[in-house]
Amino acid sequence: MPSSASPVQHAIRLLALMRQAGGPAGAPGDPQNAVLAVRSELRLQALDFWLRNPDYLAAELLTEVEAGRLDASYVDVASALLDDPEPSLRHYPMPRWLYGAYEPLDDAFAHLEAYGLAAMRRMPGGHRNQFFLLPAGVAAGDDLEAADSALSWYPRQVKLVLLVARDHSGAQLKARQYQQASYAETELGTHIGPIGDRVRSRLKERTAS
Amino acid sequence: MSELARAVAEKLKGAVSQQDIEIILRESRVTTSATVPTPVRLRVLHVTFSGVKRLETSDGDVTEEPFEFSWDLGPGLYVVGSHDNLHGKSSVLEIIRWALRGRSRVQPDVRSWLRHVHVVFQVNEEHVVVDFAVYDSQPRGSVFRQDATGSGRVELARFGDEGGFEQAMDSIMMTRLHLQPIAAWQEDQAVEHAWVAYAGALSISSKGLDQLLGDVPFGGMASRLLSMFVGAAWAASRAEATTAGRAVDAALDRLNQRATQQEEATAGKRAAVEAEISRAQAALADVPDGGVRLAEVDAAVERVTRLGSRVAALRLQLDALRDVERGARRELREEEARKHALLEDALGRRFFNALRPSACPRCSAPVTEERRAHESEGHECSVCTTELDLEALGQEVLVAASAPAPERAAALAGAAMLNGRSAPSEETPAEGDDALRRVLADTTLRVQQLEAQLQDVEREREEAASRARSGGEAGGLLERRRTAELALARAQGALEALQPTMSSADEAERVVLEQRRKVLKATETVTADRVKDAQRDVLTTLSQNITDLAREFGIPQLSSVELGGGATLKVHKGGVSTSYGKCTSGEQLRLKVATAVALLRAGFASQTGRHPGLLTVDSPGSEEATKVSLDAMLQALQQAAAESPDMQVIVATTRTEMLEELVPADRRRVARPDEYLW
Repeated sequence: MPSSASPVQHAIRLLALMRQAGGPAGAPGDPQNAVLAVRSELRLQALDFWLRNPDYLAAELLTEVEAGRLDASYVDVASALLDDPEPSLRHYPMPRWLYGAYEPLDDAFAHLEAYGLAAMRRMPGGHRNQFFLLPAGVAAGDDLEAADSALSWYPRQVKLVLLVARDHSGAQLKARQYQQASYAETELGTHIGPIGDRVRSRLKERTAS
Repeated sequence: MSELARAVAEKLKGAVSQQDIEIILRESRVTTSATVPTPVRLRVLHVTFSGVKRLETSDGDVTEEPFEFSWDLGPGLYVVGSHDNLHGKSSVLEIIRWALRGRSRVQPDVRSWLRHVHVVFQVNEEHVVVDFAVYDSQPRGSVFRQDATGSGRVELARFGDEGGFEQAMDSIMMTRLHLQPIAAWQEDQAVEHAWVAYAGALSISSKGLDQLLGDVPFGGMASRLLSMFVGAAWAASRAEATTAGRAVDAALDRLNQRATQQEEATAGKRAAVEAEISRAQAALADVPDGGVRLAEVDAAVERVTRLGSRVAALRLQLDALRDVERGARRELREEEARKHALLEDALGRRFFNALRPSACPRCSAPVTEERRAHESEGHECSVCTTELDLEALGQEVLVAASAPAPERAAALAGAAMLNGRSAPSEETPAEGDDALRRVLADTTLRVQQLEAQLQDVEREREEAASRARSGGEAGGLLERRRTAELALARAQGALEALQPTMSSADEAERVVLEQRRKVLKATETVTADRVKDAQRDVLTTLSQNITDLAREFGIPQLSSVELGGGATLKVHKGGVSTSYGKCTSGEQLRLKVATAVALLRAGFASQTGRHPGLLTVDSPGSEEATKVSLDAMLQALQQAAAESPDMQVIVATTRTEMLEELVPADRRRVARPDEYLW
């Protein structure tokens, strides 16, 4: 798979994420006409991780089903995430993420900013930036979802991601993601990375039992 | 080689070699030479005995009277007498005989009175001194030898009872008198009657008249004694041959018995083996005929192996091919993903480009309407006013003319991709690189073909394996058949081995025994003939002498007697033939004495007899005898005794009155009337 998405693709994802994951803006210090806000970059990055790694998302889905928080029908969804061509076409691993490194989103964000869709408030100390979606951005986000285009996969997928993420903080989300990685390492002896085989074996166990 | 062996070989007409005969005779302890008896003389020199008489008077008192008797004797006739019977004369003789034989015929009361006995015998040049005390009627003493001078005294034996005494006298006397044990056969066991029998023949008394010779009432004993005393040279050999022959017969019987037992045992075994045979035959019939040729089985086994390697090779191929397939699939996916990314990027660009930029993200310079118009007609970016690439613009791609080539190319390619489709289909590009697809399709096909091939080969192999297995079962059948055949052969062999005859070892033994028996029987015959021949003349002479003597002793009507080799006596008197046993005891006494004297004389005369020259005669005249006949007997005895200085006859009689005339004083011990001898 391609090592990384292009800035345009990245921007599309950010738009999709912010449109659905954003909370209400309007706090003091927020940009004037901000509508939605994503106040934790960590959370944004974590959500993006699941968006980009269908195998981890499938693993988490299974876990949620096993924990009883999600209905058993999501097992099929998880299976599809592994085997259908669409998710695998959009598989953009983030190897550094699990070791604590962010993927810079500056270029991607610039796209959004250029078209007046989003704004960023940079906080000192790095990575404590807040992201705001402006009215044009909200509209664009809606257009993205409504459009009958390959791109509309992203808004749909974001829904699945948010379902799994619930209201966990970025740190919590990252911990969950890391756990999946370390299970796979323990069980399969693989280095931190793709966990598709492990998920497949979990699925097999489910069907067998 | 002995002459006897030669004679036996002749008798057997060469059936057995002389050498073998010699060996058999030696092993059977048959004397192969005529035993020429050397005359050994025996005489009583002295007798002394003492004791205490215990008598009960009519009052019931018990008197004790110590006594002692002593007598020196020499060759010739000696007489001991008393007017009445029971005055001790018989006891004198009995005591002498006791000392001689070890076995006592002394009357019990006399025996209980005795305390000490001392008798000196002369045996050839030696003196044999028998000295014993009597304790509780049992003899306890010893036997010495010494020279005639009285020196060189050596104890020969010691005894503490009558059994020991007998044994002692037997061993001492037999060798000294050169006498051979008389082998007799009693109840299948050879028994030797030695000195007791011999010495018994040296005395005559009113008891034991049933036997012409001796006083041991065994069948055949008399004949042996006769042949011994008369001097039949081959008598010993004959006796030995007969005894040995009987031993062989007994051995043969045992052998035959064993063979019979074995046969019975074998019969049982044979039944078992025959059962085994029928069992084995049944087992063989049970084994079905395999019918599968082993070659086919072998071929199947080989095919299995061959196909096995082919399967392995195919599997390896298949694995490699699957790897290739996987690789191709991955490459294809990657290509597809790449293409998709390109598409998404193009779509994204178009998406954004559809929006109206509002400000420069960098400097926030507003994008005015004017700039926008420039952009759509003027070929300038509304945000940064850089010249746009017109060609791209024609494809609705916004990219600066000065944008780096890859960017420009990517943008164009993306646009081309978008435009290359007909409008409704903006689906994810299902097409990839055709080449990759072809590779994948080819590989997948190859994999499927190989899988099918592998399946075929595996099936073939399984078929061959099952053929080999069933052939293996046939092999097992063959095995069973072979085993059953072997069992049958073995049982048949066992049957053959069970012969209803003796074992070979027994058979060999039987042959040996048969031969031995043949030889011994022949030897018996040969020696018997010789004995008979030798005896015939002697017996004739003896018979004549006996007749004469017996007539003198008082059987006037005796016309003749015939002394047989078996010590039988045919008696012809008064025109009637009878036998010794049928005569009256008076006649028997006279005949026995006549025979004894005749034997004495004959033995000494010819120097070939073994008669030791001692004779004791007890109480002639006690049996219905007239004075005349008694005198005649005594005279005859005296005459016989006088014929040789080596003879000694001791007579005990009640006929004392004539003794004074007949016998010199120093040769007689006579009790006065109403007196006891001792």
